[in-house]
Amino acid sequence: MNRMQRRALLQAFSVAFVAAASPHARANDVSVPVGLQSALIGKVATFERTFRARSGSTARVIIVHKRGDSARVAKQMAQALNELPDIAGVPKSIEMLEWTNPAALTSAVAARPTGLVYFSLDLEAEAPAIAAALAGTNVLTVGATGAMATSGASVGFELEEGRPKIYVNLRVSKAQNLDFRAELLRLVKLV
Amino acid sequence: MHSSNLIGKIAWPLGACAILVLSPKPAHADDASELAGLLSENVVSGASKSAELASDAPATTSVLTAADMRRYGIRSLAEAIDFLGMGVVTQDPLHSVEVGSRGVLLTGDYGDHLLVVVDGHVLNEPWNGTAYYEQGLAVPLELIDHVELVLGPGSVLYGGNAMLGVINIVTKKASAQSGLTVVAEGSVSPQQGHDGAFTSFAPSDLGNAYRLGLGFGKRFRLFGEDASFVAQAELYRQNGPSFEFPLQEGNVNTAGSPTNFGPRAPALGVWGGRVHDQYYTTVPTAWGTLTVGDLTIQARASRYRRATPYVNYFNQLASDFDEPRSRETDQWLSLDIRYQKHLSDRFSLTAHGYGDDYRYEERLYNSDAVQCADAAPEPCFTVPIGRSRWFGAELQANIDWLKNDALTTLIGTDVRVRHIAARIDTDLGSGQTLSSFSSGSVTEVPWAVYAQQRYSPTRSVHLNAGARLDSDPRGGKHVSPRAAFAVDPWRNGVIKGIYAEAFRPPSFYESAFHPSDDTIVFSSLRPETVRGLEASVEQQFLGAQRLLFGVYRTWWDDMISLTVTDPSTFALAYRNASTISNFGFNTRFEGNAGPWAYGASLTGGYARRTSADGSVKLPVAPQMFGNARFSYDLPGDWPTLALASSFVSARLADRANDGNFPVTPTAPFSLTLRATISGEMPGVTGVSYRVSGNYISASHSPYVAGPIQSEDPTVADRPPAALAPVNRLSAFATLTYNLPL
Repeated sequence: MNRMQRRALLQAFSVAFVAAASPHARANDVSVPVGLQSALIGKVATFERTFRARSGSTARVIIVHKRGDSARVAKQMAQALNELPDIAGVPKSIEMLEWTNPAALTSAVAARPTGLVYFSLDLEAEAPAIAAALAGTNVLTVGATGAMATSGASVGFELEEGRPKIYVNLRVSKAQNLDFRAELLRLVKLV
Repeated sequence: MHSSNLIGKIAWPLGACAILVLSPKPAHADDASELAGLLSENVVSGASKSAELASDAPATTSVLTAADMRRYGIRSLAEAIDFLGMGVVTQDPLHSVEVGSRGVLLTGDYGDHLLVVVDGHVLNEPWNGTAYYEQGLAVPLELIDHVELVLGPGSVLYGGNAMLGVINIVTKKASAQSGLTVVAEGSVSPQQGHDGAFTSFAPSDLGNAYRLGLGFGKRFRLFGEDASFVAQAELYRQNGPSFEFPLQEGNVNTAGSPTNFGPRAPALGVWGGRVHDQYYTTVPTAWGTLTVGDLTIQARASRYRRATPYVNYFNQLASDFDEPRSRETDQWLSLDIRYQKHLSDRFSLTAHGYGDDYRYEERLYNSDAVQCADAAPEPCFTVPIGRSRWFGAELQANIDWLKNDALTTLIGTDVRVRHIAARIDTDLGSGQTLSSFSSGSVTEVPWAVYAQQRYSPTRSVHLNAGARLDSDPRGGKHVSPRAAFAVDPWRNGVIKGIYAEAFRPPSFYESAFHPSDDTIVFSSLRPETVRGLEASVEQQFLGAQRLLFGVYRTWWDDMISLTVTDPSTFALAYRNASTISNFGFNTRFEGNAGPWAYGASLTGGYARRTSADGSVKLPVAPQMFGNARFSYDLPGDWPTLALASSFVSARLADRANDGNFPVTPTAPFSLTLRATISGEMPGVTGVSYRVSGNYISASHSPYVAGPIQSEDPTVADRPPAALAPVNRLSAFATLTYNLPL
């Protein structure tokens, strides 16, 4: 190995080390690409019998997020949902809500008829509190990950063996007064 | 279960399906169909190093899932490729299997024209480009989440070796492999005689194999971060079945005397008979992945030891007959560290460090000392040894310009240091090394930079273009470009077009091959290159049913092969000696309906190699191959029934083009059938089972067996070539116990 080669190698390792050590946001990401998630959301809503009645003339969608990767994924989802012509045949409006506490979320949901709440990354720890806060309301809650559905959202998405899976939490769904058609439940993984 | 009940259980869903098909559909039936279609979309990461729909990816891909591997009784990557894949095929010489794609299979290449990647870690080692596809792959099957077969030249992001394509293996996360897993698998095969006849089913005559595994997976918190650990250790061991080889008489050694093939050969100068002890494999493997936050550390250790039951041209030119001490051993230690983070909404960075230590040793025992690599006074071993160690760092940046994954730039650099050494020893039977020759070593620093631009101006148009510059001390500088588009011109349909190039620098083994020299002198070889053009159309219909048809054309240049450089002394050396012209089609259908799952693929590939000696078909490479399968999930606790098949057309044997045999040795059309029953063990929580039977219609593979690898064309009365047998019949069972923790 000559001197130039040694120097190039040293530089590459130095850059890699510095990059790895810098204290920035985490590299969390969704396993099911956001574009595919938005298409799945559009379909899942058609199988929820109360969605149209609840939404009225416009399906209000609230995207809840934290900072960092959570906000990044939330913005991607907002763009992806905006590209859908409608959700379950209903025109939609998209709102972003930065996570503070369950009460603020409940208040936002109760302010106007809400068709769907999407929870971006990093809200798994808050999911049980969210589920408790939204119990008794009529809203479709969708998590960016399967873990979100396991912890407290009605629906979540996870990549299994290279294919997207829809996770459905029936307990949470029942508490949120959701009524899924059997055709959907045959295609999903109940958690 | 009464048969009438079983028929009833199968018949009523069929009847129900028929009624559903014939009945007017409710409005949401279309939604259900479309949702099923979305859920059948494969998400791949191997083609562009980012997660994307397979239909949008800049390559033709097949995804082999763990669920399909379970239900169809798959036990190795090679079997998964043959029974479930499209465009890739393997051939089993009772050694490590060989792999080819779409009409091109380069026999004797030890897998160095196809890149194997496990979770981003390249397995092909730099001494000889070796990668394995059977149990020698040393990745426990239970840890594989899915396998992506990425067809066509793929050097644009991966560099050398990705000429036929890339096999991207993705392992399971702890969420999918949690708790303690115990695996026990066993198989038996009957003794075989000439022409593949079954000569004994007696228990003492059965060949056998078993695999014992212990796995563990858990998620936990560490240093305030989400963490997980997945690991499995296993031992695979195979012994037999026993094969009988026809006698080959009149063999003489280089001294002109009848060759002594050892105490198990029938007589001096005669090779053949029944092999009892020289067909075995042992593979202990340990594999583990630790993830803490954004950091992933993966490690692998394995040893792959095997004995090939016959003398042949590709790995065992001279050995005693049925000599278990003649065998090959590969040892692998791998470490991979990856750290990925999003620095902003637009910018993410991946730092990847890797290192491997690989050792290869073959020992060929010869009672006839003249057969050894160096003159020996007594029975001796010829011991080729190769060793490669390498470590490197890859830094990759991804810029999502519009923050919606529609316009992304990937740039990366990869620098590695590799040390390679080789020699050929002659050892005495006592183990003492008599001499070493053709020895040498080298330390090299190859590097690469690459860039890829993805752009999706609308949801229906996906463009991808990129290039990689590799600088390799043995191949010089080489640029590998790729450009691809995927458009959805109509509902649920995708048209794709791809142009891609790849290259393979000459391996150390090829560069240093000078058998007459004491020390290694490197040849000046150019890298092999391939250019590929392909187009495909894929249509999704009736929900989860998908049909793909594609055509392709590839041009291979500067192909390296062992060439006679001086006919008077029969001196051999690797040279850039030929080109390959290849074209064909591949098609695939797969889908599911209720409890039924099914799929089929067919690949036709025409390939000819042209050199100074003329134009010939590629030996061993099938020009037509494919598979078909279906499975049915019985209701409730009843098992899943599955039938899988694969076939390869007749193909030339490895010595067909230069063996001077009176009849061109050709392996016949071969059909493999595998029936599998699998399910959860009734009444025993956590225990699952599968039982399979496997049958191969052909009796021989395309490999010439025995010391007569070529004949004198001037002799009038030459015997035909003897082809190697195949293991035609086997039955096996797997028990898996999972204990949640």
